[in-house]
Amino acid sequence: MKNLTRLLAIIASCIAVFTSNAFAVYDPTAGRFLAPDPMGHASDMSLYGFCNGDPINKVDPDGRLAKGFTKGAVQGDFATYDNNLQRWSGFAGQIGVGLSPFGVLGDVRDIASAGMDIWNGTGTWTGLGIASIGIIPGFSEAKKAWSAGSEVAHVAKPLNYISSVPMSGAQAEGVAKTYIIGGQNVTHSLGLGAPLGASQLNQESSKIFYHYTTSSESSFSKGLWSDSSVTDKLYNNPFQASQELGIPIPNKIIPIIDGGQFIPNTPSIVQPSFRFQGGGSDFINTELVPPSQFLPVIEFKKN
Amino acid sequence: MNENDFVELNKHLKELEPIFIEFCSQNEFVFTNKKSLGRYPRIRIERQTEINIWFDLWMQPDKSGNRFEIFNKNLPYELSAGAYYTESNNSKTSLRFDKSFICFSDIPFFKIEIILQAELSKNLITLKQWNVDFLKKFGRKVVLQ
Repeated sequence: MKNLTRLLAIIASCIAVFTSNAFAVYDPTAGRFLAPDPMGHASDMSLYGFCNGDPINKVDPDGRLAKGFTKGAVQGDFATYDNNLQRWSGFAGQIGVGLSPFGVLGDVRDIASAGMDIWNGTGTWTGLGIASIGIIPGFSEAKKAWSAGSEVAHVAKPLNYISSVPMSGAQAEGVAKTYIIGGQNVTHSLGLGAPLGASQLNQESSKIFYHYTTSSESSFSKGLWSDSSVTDKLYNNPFQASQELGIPIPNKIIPIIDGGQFIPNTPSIVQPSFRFQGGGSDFINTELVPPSQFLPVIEFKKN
Repeated sequence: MNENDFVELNKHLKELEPIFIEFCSQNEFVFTNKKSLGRYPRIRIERQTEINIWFDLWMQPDKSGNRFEIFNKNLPYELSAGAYYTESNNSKTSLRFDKSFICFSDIPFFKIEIILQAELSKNLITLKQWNVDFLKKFGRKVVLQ
């Protein structure tokens, strides 16, 4: 039944896509249509051959390097965010996999489903194996998805991770993690459903910003370069993060405690481009952020 | 890549700056803050009227989807253009309607200087015809939180 619901949602979003794009501006000067056909990016993506590429292995210290449309989108042939449905959909050959061509959403659900895990202080998260929601089985996979990397995790070791509680209600499904930072409890949440808005996050973790990236963790061994973009939004869907922040699909999130370095970028809301919808909140660090302000990396697992 | 590598990778864009500067001065466009564009080679200009009109020139990735790290004059570039309108209301969110198109893509850098001025001028004619109603009817709707 759940799969049927998803399928209907996907079909609905497909219809939305075709409707919204079913218009092309004709330029009499150029003698051609300026806007792409209703298939949108589909024809362009083949030019870049993202299917065969591995766009997540290049260093991206900035986290804002536009590299084209997304590998996940190509794998699904199409991925779109439907504002009405408040979710991303991929289709064309990937429907059977689910909403996410990567299966990332499923993995995030695994994380949320797991409900509890424990930072063991050595660079890994240890799961208790409790599927509190049980959407997708396999806590071991969730544990892999939520793996803290070596270098960043190592420097974050002094932070005390004290609890993890399942969330429900308006947040739908998710998990909240609380740290002791400077003697103060800071909750770091990861949920499902609609993306966590800035206002919602402010109530929960006003002192944490997020750097979405495809860079290896070793790139951040000396900290986060100045003038790097971060956001105050915690996305649970990497496709959505990619589209709103105008970056390649991230494979990890670096949560960073605000040490006073972050100021709103100019403009403060990421602007749209042909390949990215923009809309994410954009902050920038005026000076290097030392690794000591990093929290353990959150990885989006890929298949 | 480190910061110096990115500076080096961006150097060639200086060759195109005179064209953009002239176009901006003639048509009341301004350069978008570079810090909001990332470090990969990219120039974006915009004009804020009732709607925001923009042009965005950026270095495309290679055929495998990876970013180029060393410049040569044959690397492909893409110019896109568009407009957006932000509708604010009393709620915490606002709506943005945007529409965009590709002016050209897969053009090697050494040819950009030749065609850039004409492409900017030609496509500005189209963009000038877009208004709020057009964007709200045909644009992509994005909820800004």
